[in-house]
Amino acid sequence: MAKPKVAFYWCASCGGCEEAVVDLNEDLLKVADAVEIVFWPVALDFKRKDVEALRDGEIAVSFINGAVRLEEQEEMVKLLREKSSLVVAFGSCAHMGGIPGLGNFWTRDTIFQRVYNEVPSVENPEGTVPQERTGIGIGELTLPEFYDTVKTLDQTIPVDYYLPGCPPPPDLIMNAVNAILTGKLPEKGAVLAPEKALCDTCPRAERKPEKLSIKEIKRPYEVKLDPEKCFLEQGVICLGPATRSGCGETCIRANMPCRGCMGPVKGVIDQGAKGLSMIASVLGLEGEDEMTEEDIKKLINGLVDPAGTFYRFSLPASLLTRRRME
Amino acid sequence: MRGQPVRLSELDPNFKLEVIAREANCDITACFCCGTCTAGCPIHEVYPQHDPRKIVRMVNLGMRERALSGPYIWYCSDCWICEQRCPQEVKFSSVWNVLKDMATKEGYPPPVSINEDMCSGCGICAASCPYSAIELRIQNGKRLAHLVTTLCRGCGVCGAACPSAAISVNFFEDEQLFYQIEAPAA
Repeated sequence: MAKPKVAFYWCASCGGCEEAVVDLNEDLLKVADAVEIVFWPVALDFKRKDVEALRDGEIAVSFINGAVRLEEQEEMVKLLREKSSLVVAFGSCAHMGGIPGLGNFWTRDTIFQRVYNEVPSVENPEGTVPQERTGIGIGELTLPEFYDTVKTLDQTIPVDYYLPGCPPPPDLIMNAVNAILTGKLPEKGAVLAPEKALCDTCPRAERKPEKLSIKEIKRPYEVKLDPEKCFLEQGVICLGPATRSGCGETCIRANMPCRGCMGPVKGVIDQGAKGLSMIASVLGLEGEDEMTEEDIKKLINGLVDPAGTFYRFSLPASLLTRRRME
Repeated sequence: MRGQPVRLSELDPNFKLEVIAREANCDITACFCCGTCTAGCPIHEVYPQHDPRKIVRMVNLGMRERALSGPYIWYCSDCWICEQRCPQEVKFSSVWNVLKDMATKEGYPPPVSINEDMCSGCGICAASCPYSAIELRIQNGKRLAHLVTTLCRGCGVCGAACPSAAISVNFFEDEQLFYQIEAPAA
């Protein structure tokens, strides 16, 4: 029997998801043994025409990471969708927009202005920015369009399953691959990770205080973090309560709070809104009756960049989607 | 509940008077059942069982137990479109609050529930509950939020605070809230 065909593709991403595949270590050899990889731009020399030559649905599964930011990415994922039986959104960026999704607080023009003119290390006296079409003597050069708005994968093509995480942890990847190879898949649209929030598996859960109350918000570098205590108890914003578990608590074990890359738990539409309401619910809880308006303002102002904190990985997938275009 | 006869002997004619006595602007006897309230109710769109006209009718008829024990008074999400549109100027906002208060005091707990399959024991709800109605208990070695129904007054703070969709309060689900946002624009 022919081996099932598998494709990997990357859109607006950092390459970390590709690393995650390599991080499978010896398991990668088992995967490579069980399947035929037909497309993987980062590692193998297949071209777009090779994908075009396949029959519709011939690829058993395409793992696509990264958000959709460029015209080229939109074209490629639409092509892969046609050629694939299953499409898995791989990693936070494909799942919810991820870090590139924070670009939705800006527009193409403001991003270009910053990147090609204002960054201190850039010298560009003529103010040259990339153009979709550039005439040169012998013809015309083209570049894919850079969209104003970053989209998630499922805002661009129908997605069958989601593998969350920045990047997805190796055990979840292997579980997903095994489930696909054996056909033991959950219902379509499922996130292939545990359903509960991170606090459920947090190594600090046992030492959590009976009553949480944040007296002062601190950023991780402003405080010597106690490796035993709950981050929220120490005044450091941790999105663990609003974030799906299954990551292996790697950040927590490295003494850093959860930033929310695994996305919301099942049933939550907007992870950022949940994070915000959760922090608002325990902010200055103790002694709030004695607080003046000034005290409250000071406490709230301790939260630097709330939008970036709560929507770090999920802005395009949230109810906000982006900053309003003027 | 359709098809059940109303038995006069089980009615409490003083019920409406008690409601009015609780709050001066609660005079629901002005209601003549035109149904404008129900027609504009965004929650009625999602849950047809929530019918403001019927609830007011129950109170006027003296159907004390049916009105207070059922979940219907808790479906309301306080948008007060009913109150704005009522031609008889029934102050629904006061009526609903009085009914909810009577229900909790008469031992009909608000429909708040904690889904243990989703609770991660983060403790946000327990910290923010103003009535100390949520306790964290250890079950199978894990912390889980536990609702003390006798203390709960159905205020909804826990449901808003819960970041992991484990608490369901008064039928304040996302779907209802979205309808509520859309209703004034419709």
